[in-house]
Amino acid sequence: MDTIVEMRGVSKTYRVGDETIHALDRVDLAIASRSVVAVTGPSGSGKSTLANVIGGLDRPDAGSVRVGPHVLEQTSDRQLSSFRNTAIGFVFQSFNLQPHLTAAENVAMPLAFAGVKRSKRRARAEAVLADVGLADRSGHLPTQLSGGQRQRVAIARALVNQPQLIIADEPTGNLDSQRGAEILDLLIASVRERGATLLIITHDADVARRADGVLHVRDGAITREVQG
Amino acid sequence: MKLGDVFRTAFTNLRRQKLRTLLTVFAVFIGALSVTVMLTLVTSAQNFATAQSTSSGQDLQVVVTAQADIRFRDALGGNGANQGDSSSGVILDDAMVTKVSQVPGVRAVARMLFPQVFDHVTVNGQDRRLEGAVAAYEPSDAVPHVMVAGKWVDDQNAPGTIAISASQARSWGFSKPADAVGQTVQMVTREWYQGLGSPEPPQGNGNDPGQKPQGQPTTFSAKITGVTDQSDDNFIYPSWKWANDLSTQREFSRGPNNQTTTSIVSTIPAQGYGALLAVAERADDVPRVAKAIRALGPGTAIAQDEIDKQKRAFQIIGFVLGGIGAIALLVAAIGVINTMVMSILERTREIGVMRAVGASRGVVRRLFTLEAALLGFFGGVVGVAVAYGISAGANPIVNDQLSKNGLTSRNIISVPPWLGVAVIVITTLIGVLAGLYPAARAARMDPVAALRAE
Repeated sequence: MDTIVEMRGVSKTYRVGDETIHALDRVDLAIASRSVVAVTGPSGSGKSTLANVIGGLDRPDAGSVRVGPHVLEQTSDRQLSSFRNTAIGFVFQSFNLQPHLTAAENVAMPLAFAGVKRSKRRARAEAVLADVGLADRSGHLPTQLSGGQRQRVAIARALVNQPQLIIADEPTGNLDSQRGAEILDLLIASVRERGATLLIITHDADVARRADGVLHVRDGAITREVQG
Repeated sequence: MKLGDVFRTAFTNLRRQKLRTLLTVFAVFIGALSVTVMLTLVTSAQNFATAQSTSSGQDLQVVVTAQADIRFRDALGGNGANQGDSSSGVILDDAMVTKVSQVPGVRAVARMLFPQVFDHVTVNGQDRRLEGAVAAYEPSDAVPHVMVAGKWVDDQNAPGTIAISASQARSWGFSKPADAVGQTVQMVTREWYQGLGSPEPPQGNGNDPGQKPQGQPTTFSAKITGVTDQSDDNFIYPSWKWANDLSTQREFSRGPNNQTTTSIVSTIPAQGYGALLAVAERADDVPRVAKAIRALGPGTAIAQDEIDKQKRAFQIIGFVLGGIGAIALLVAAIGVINTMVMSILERTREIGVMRAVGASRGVVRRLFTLEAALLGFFGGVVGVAVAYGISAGANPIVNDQLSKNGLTSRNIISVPPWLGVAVIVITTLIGVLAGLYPAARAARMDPVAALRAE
């Protein structure tokens, strides 16, 4: 089994006032390529920190992180940014679309940071929007779209650079159950279709059930790994 | 991220906050406009001074005076001439004319006379004290006279013809220079005048043998042939021939038989000419020519010294006015910083998303610095454009005033292209500098914290 993510002894602490919080405490972890892995755990357990460290948004205080060929602890900001741009796709609970950009422009944003030509960006964004069922909404602003549609745009944005790993942090948290289920279907289908890996942070047991594996996090440590 | 995309994104972001962008650009515009207008006025004034001197040929002239250390303008009014004798020990006679004309770089030498014989003038029946200088130029092709009305004095119909300066025309009550042309004024000499044209004293009655007869004021009619482009000084220019006559005194004496005898005494051999006007081949030669002439004994005065003094004065004014403009630009810079800091606070989450999808710190820094630079750039462009508009609008008004004051210069207010470019570059740089801190702050943001921002 080849792994896409490997963590060895990864720790991350925060100071909140006088208190030191161990968001990640000597975590060892391996995630198989082309799998769908759910990360569960109570609020404040360290799920998001785990996702952020894997996604290169946050740096660990100790330990090593490898995502595909990228060894993250020795990278410059520029290299780490390039890694986020090309190897990772983020999907957030609150969509995080740029309100002044159209759906297509939002989707094309990672391509702009990758230095892709404007003409190619447009075509690729339109194609991915079509994949997520929004071919006719590419010119709409986020305010002109429903919650489900906004999350589809966000998924398209995460997929547009064909990353190896999609990290979705509570992607259905702001949606009703029906829309949530549709988004989850779309995410899993898209990831499987592209041979990518999905790391999905969730409180939802139904979501976890559909994953290939579940990581349960508590107090910054992985307490359980369940293979689906 | 490609440079074009950075520009496009910066434009889009500025457009999103139209009012804030407009207000900030307006602040920069005020600074840019004030700097441009103030420095334009200074450079225009400097150029005007130079142009006046060039058009009148004064940039090529060296006034050679008997006295030393006389200002150019004063020298042209006769202040450097010997008064009644050769008090300075230097006589500007024909021998000196020859010497000066042999100085390398001298193209021509014209003699000048300043007959100090007039007391007052009657213009349109009104007596006026004679204020200003009476100066006569030996006719020379090398000495141009810029006329705003009529012609320079023609020696053919002398005596009794004068040209006057525009300022003189105004002080004599002519509302326009052209009104003076063709008018005849009565020029009345001082009591002691006994030169050519004065009446001979009556024959003696035998009671005062040997006593010199007293002179009496003589009135000359003088027709104004033209008005020169000279607004700031009063000048009366009699024809060269007439000035020679006026410098030729007669002495009356009574013999033992009480008969009056007249002897002609020219003042020129004793005092020399009032001044000599040496005309250099090239303006660059003027200081060297002046130095060479001083080595011959006389004093010299050149327009360049005065223009330099004026330019220095304008420079000081320029520094003061430019300083005021710089303060306006400083305030504008603070406005840019404020706008950018506000913008970054509002766009914290947006910055987080940009970082999450691949923007490096450098890209974020570039983006925000460019936004600030564009604020400065647009402010500068609008400021310079409006300054051009103001100069275009002001020139007709200034032209009208110049014309009324008898000056031939036109469209003197112009924004020098270098100034326009410099102001735009400076406001853009101010934008960049003002944007450095906010941009660095945006770039330093922790992406995780930024994504959590409300």
